[in-house]
Amino acid sequence: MNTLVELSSVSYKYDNIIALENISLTIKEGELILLTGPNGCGKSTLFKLLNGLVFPSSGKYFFAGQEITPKLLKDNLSAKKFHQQIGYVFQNPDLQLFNPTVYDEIAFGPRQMQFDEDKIRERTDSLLCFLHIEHLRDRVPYHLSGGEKKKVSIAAVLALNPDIIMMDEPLNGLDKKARKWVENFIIDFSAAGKTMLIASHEEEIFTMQNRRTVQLDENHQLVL
Amino acid sequence: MEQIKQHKFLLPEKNNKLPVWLTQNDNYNPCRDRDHFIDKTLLALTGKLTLLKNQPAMATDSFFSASFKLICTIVLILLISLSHRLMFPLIVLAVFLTYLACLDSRRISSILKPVSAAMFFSLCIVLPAFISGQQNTLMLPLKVFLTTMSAAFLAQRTAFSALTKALGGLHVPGLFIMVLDLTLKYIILLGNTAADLLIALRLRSIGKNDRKYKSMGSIMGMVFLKANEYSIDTHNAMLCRCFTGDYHVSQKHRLESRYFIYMAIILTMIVVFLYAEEYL
Ligand SMILES: Nc1ncnc2c1ncn2[C@@H]1O[C@H](COP(=O)(O)OP(=O)(O)O)[C@@H](O)[C@H]1O
Ligand SMILES: [Mg+2]
Repeated sequence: MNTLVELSSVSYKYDNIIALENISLTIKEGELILLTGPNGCGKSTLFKLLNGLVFPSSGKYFFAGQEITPKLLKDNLSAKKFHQQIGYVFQNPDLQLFNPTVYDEIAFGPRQMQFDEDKIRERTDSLLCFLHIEHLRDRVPYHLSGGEKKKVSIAAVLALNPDIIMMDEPLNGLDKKARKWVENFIIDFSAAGKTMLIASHEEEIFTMQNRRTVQLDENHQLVL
Repeated sequence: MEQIKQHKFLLPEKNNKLPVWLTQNDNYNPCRDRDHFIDKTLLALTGKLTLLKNQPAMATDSFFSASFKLICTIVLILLISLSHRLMFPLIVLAVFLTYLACLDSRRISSILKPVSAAMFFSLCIVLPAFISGQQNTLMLPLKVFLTTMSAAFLAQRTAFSALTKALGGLHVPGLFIMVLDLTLKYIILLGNTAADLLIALRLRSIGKNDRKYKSMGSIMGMVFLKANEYSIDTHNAMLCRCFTGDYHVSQKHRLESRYFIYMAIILTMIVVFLYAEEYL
């Protein structure tokens, strides 16, 4: 199996606050990885780093064999290619959803990839159908309920057809039914051979057989 | 070293007991304070927000598309401002009043309120000229009345998102449209934040608070910080979905039979204008 993500002794600081310390991690294609650890241990920061939104203060980050550097992402084409490969579902959907309607929200990614409008409609409609949210098509995303927002942000990310899906605290603020749905979604998706990285402080919820658990501790280091 | 770090996360054992005063009742008798200020701000804010939130859902299914309504309104405003004679504005006024008469009372008041405010303002401006004998200056308030009214009709009948999309159809740059869309999102998100903070302030203002304006200041500051945070995160979300600065909007048009009706309506407007202005 190919290696998708490789972090070698990566550290990250917000000004002087240490958020990640000496992290080395490899993610192979098709893996389901559960990233756990207490609040403030650096899970969200790790996600930002993996998505090229911040860069290591020291150490190196490789995605699909290519080192991710500010210089690489300055280039429009490499940036688009890189971001297309990672689907990042934010912890707070309010920040992730920025389009006037649910349809536009899902179509945003494919539009940036400059597909023609028929293909965009096909993708969007099939996602609406797959997630059972056809009835939300013309609604304004930020007026939806928490569970609906989560589904829409997942759909928006799936529209990119990414190689790896990263979800930050996917169960936060959801009711029982929505939590169950997200859990099943993760199981189904991983069973379909997709690579997934899930961050959660509730490790006991994710009991999938094939998962690998990676733990961060209070000192922002990996527990080996 | 290890020990110190541990302590950051675990409270020392003996602090885990509830303080005694927390287990007893306070028997608190509040003194009178005027909450008018908070209440008024809260009411105004939430009122405006619900107005924005209760916007009609996308009106694309109606016969007249948003682009048509937008073009129609622009043409109409243009014609009204170009007219020199009283005839055309009067015809438009007649049509508008008839239309207005068909609406329910809530709609009528929500249209007439801003429109009459605008008219009153322009009336005040031209009043000196009118008093000193310039008869035709009254055209200006009438024109203001009609143009704001057509804009109000447009806003009433079309969702904001449909309007920005219609701008896309008129080849307005995508980035500009996105800024408009994002602005609305922020107004609502930040408005909700501000309303939440105000409610929190209201709920905790159980005593006398002489520095309400200061509390308001902190709320505004908090909203400002939130705005900064939101904008950074939303930008990140866009980057993650392949946004690199050039925004692609869908711009696909198929010729439909209803477009001929749209054309006919706009042409009729222009012909009526030319006739009323005695060009024909
Ligand atoms: N924008 C920021 N500026 C400064 N410090 C931050 C910022 N974001 C997070 N931190 C700090 O970095 C550490 C890790 O945070 P985070 O990655 O959000 O943890 P988690 O997601 O595991 O709860 C925390 O100590 C937090 O206070
Ligand atoms: Mg987090």
